[in-house]
Amino acid sequence: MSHATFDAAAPPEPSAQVPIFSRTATGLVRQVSLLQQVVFNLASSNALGQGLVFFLSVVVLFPRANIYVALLIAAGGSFFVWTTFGLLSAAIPRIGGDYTINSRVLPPWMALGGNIGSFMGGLFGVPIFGYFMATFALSPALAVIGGVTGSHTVTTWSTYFAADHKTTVFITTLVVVAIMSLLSYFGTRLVLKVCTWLVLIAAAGFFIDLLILLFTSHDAFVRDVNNVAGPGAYAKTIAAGDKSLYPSVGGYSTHYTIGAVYYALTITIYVYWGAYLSAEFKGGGQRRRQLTAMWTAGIGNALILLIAIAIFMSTVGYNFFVSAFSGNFTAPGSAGLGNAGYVYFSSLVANNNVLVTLLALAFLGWFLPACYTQAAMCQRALMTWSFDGLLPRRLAAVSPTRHTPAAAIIVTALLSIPLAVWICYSSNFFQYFAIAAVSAYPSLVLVGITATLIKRRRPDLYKGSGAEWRLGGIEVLPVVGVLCSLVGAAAIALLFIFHTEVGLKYTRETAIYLVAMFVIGAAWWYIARSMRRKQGINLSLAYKEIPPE
Amino acid sequence: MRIRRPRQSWKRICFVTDVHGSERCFRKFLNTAKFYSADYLILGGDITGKTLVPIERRPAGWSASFREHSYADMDDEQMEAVAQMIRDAGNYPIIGDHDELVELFSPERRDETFRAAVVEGIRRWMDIADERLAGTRVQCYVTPGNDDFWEIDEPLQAAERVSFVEGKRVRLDDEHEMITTGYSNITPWRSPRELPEPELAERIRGMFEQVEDPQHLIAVLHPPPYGTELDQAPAIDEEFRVQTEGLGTKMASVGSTAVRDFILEVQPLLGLHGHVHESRGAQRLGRTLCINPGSEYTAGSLSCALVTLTDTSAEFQFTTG
Repeated sequence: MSHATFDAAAPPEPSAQVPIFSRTATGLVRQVSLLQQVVFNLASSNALGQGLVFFLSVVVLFPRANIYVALLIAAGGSFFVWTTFGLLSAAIPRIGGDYTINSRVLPPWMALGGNIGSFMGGLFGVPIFGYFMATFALSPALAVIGGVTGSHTVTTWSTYFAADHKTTVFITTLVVVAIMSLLSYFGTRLVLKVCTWLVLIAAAGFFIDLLILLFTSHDAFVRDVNNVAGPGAYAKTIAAGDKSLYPSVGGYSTHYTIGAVYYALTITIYVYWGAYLSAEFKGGGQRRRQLTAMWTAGIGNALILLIAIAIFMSTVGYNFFVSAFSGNFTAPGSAGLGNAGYVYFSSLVANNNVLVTLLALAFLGWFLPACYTQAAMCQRALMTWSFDGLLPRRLAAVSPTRHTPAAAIIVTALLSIPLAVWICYSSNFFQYFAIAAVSAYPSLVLVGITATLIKRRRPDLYKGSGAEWRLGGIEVLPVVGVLCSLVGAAAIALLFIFHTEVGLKYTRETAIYLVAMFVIGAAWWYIARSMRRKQGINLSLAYKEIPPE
Repeated sequence: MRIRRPRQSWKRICFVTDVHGSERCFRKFLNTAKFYSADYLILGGDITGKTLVPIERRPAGWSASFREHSYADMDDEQMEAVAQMIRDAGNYPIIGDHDELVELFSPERRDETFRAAVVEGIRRWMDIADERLAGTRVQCYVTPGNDDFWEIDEPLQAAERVSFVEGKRVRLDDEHEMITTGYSNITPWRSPRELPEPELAERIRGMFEQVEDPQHLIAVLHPPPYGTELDQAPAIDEEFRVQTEGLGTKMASVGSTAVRDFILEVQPLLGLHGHVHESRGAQRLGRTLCINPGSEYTAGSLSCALVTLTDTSAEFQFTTG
């Protein structure tokens, strides 16, 4: 079919157009608000305070990187990923993630291979965020509270949650995984409600911390540091630091700025995960709706992070933070500096015990929701694989009373226990985690390929859908699809180039792992297909289009 | 690629529901017999669409707006292609000049316009079905759902190759019987075929009284059983607004207690349901395997539940074709 005129941007002629009419029928108005969809998208990424905490470590990992430029480049690259997912969600408004999208256009074994990577990334993430609750959250938060309030007891408690107290950290990790799993079991509504409130509390704390820093002049901050840590402590800290880490001495490093882009990507890119949750609602097939939700969350998060970094660095001082982060600053509560920097420094100037305590506790709110996000991804993958016949049906079992995927929740929790042992009691977990962390990027490459091929391979899904969008006569989806693939590939390449900085020791194993994902995916899929055939089920047909004519 | 036919005498059901006027989905549904090697095709209700889309005759050609796209200055062939795209997405194109469309879409006339378009759509579908299924041994069963006007019963009953099974008990083969209803429990939308739970229970019971072997019964009941994974939908208020909880959507069970009670008491082999598009899934209630294949009609994709029946069991597979 050729259209005489195709102009997606132009509105219909207002004077003459008779509007469409929809009758009252079941389900017509099952909408989520745009705000809800934006929040879904935002909550799926390492947003706001959590992003700031992770990203600030860049100043040491990538010396003299221009963190603003890195963040902007990462947001720019992520923009193509968000757009690709937004458009594909408009064409395929279903939950299920990259597997659902890719399996309709690419060979199913390939989609499964990519999804195995996403699953592994999520599975590693479950105990990681439990572990972080101890080492990144409880330990620094208690250190901040103890330091600022002068409580020796609380300060001592903070040390119990440091990484070297392995058993305490292990128990904390298990407790977090158990709480998250129990909440998941007792109801999706319940766990989402708890997570929403925790994120809101943490975000409120984050904004208050930023406001405190915003309304504290640099000179006042220096005075407060010197008051707390001793006369001249601020200048001494800068003097003690490694000057090669200071941009003010050696200028910005282009090399490390590029490296920092990898780190920034891990904070900006995951907004696309939100589409997995919200794509199915009415209106999910609307391009404008999907793109607005994606772009608002993604650009909003990046902008807030840029502003937050600017405020933080302006008040605290870049060189001082770099040196302090490197361990050259000692003051009450400074054990919390590395992992909860913005909380520590705002507490340092707030000078109010109650406020400091509340802000430090608010910081804890980031971690359980992050743990749930990872677990939910794994649970959904197990359910989807089970429904598609790739796993036993029992794994798709739901609780008859709670309506939650009980089997998938239990399996995810059980699988995370050995990983929790590994993370807490070994020294090489994070080197392997770096491998798992790269797992999500091959699926991004595949999603980009899907975007470029969907018009040819599944015209039924593309034609006339919200994804069929032209700007200046050029079809947008194939273009952003190519760029999405390039971003995914660039992220993988950056990991290998900057493997030392990001702590990836096993580069050869990583390469093998990336290939193995697809080998395992292919083997798994073909074995499952063979087994299911004996039951009269052909897995090849799961997403194969039925010819309409 | 086809499913290899097992050596044993298994029978395969292709169950589809809630196509809501998508002609593309209906044509695919008819082709599932060949594509999936299905013996029985069952369309479980809510088969008509919800939206009228005007296509306007203008001096420079035909003009329409659909799905964020504007089409203008079309010749007849191009207009027909757009009209087909509208039908394929589950809507009804209404064609005319400006004054005609204003009249047809006026508050006084639009219900009449709608019903006429729906009936015409069903006649068109039945013609396609009679043509495609002619000369095959495939059995095709259709029931209207709660959203479907009464007026469509007549063209459905008139079809030669399609069996109208609303409110009936039918025998599929030597072992299996089927009861069917597209009625639902009461919804906020007050759609045409809704019944209070006691009356719905009575309607199901009425069919069940004719069943000879409940153990091999297939119950095609449009609403899913209440309080299961198959009936979870966003909660709405009286004005159809989605309810939120925190920053998330509040979900609620919208299925039927009558259906649930019937399944728990009778324990048929299989429960085939629809109604809640979002809740694709399968869940056992006792020994009964309850399935809701969901619906993706707006995308023109057909969501199916392929069920392979043996003498004693039922294996299922979800497909999206």
